[in-house]
Amino acid sequence: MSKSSPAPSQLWIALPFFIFGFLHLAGALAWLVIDPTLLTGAFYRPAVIAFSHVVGLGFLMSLVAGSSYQLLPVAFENPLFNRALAKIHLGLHFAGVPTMVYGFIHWQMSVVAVGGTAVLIGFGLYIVNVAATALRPLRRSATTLGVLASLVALSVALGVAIWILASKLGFVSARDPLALLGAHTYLILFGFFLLFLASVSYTLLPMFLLVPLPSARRALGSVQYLTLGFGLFIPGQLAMPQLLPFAAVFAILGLGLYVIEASAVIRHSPRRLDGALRLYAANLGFLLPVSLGLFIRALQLAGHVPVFACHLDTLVFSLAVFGTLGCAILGMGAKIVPFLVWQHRYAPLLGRVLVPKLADLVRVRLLNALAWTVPTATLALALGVTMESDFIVRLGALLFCASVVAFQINLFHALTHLWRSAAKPLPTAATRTC
Amino acid sequence: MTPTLISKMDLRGLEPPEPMTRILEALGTTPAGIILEAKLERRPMFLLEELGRRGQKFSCAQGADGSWLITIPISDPMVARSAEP
Repeated sequence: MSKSSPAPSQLWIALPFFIFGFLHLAGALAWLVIDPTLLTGAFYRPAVIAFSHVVGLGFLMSLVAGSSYQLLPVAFENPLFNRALAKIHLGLHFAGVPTMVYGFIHWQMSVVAVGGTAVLIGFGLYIVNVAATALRPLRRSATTLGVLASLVALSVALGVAIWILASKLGFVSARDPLALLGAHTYLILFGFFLLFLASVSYTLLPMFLLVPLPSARRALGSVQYLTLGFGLFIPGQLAMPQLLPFAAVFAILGLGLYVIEASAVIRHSPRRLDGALRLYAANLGFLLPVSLGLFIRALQLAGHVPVFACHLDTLVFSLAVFGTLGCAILGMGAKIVPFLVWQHRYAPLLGRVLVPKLADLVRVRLLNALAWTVPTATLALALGVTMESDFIVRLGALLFCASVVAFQINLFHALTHLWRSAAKPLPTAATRTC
Repeated sequence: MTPTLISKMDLRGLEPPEPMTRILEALGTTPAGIILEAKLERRPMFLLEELGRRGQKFSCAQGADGSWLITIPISDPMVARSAEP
């Protein structure tokens, strides 16, 4: 019989990451409404690089970190290795990201270096913390192995980022800065974010849809193909472009198996998808165009197909970031944030007083509407990028921005429980007999 | 007093946080001297944290079928009930 030591709530680690991430998403979309050329214009310029870091670091990475500290202990069935490291990561991330973005906007690489160092140390702590949580002890599953592989991709992508920065500061030479930038971006997007998403889905979807994983072998296969894909991608992008089509094929096989497995979980589930899960599941619909774009881009880089669309990179990134990752992360956020609040506010009172259900912290209709507006906004963005239309991109960004504001209203509704308890005293014996 | 009576709950197939809710609610209603035994789909990380916070003794072990069994000896449920919202 054991008696575990009292552990503080996870709220003050995960929630700040979520709030920081959602504010960055709203900021990025507002910026896109003001300047749609961020998606329709040339991409190798300070504003676009700053914008991509607001989205990649400010939005995606913050939410992935917040979710990791909350969900990965559940997925790994191990307690978080070290909360103090997570708190230091939080501080470094909060200080580093705005500094980096400021440095990129004003193209001051020394400022980027200062912010980047803070962010980099934060990532280092994140990688150590998550890996140590997974390894004590290691329970073999597609989720655990996939998350560990995604950490490797993240480490390599960070190494490439250091290389780019060092070359900008004149410490080392870079033969092809654009190839390095491409390697950094694709590694973060496919090697880290998409592999992480597929891996955690194999725990989250069965957990919320109350159905066992239909094929653990297929799930593991998807993780292995995705890992092989980014493994081949590194030498392909940096030195041997003939490897890139093979890297793309493996990545697409991995994504395809992920779509099949996730769809099977949804199909076998005895319950209907709620708004949050519908938004989460919408990510699957964007993977086909993302895969197609990735394959064509790989053929172009290998010299098999002429470069016919200068915005193909931007199109792939818009669909992957706003469609696949945006839907998945917003859907996941709609599940996690109310739970964080409920757990912090009401779990200590369970059995002592009457507490509201978790569902009472969520506005169901609003989430149902978001499951339509977010994918629609992403399609508008993709159409605008394809047609190089500032007007359509602005329209898509406006709809996405409105959806995010509605999403934040929903979260605020949950957060009000932190200072306004809805708990009621248990009925007394006298009340019960009445 | 040595607890001998066992109250069993099968909480597999419930969406989180329902298993945690049911166990913690049971803590407040189960008479002292009874051992609460609950079978769960996965290791209940948040429940274990909450039990630790409450200073509640428990044991948690994984079965051969992959499910988890948590065992909680109930000492005095009235202590758990005494807190106000």
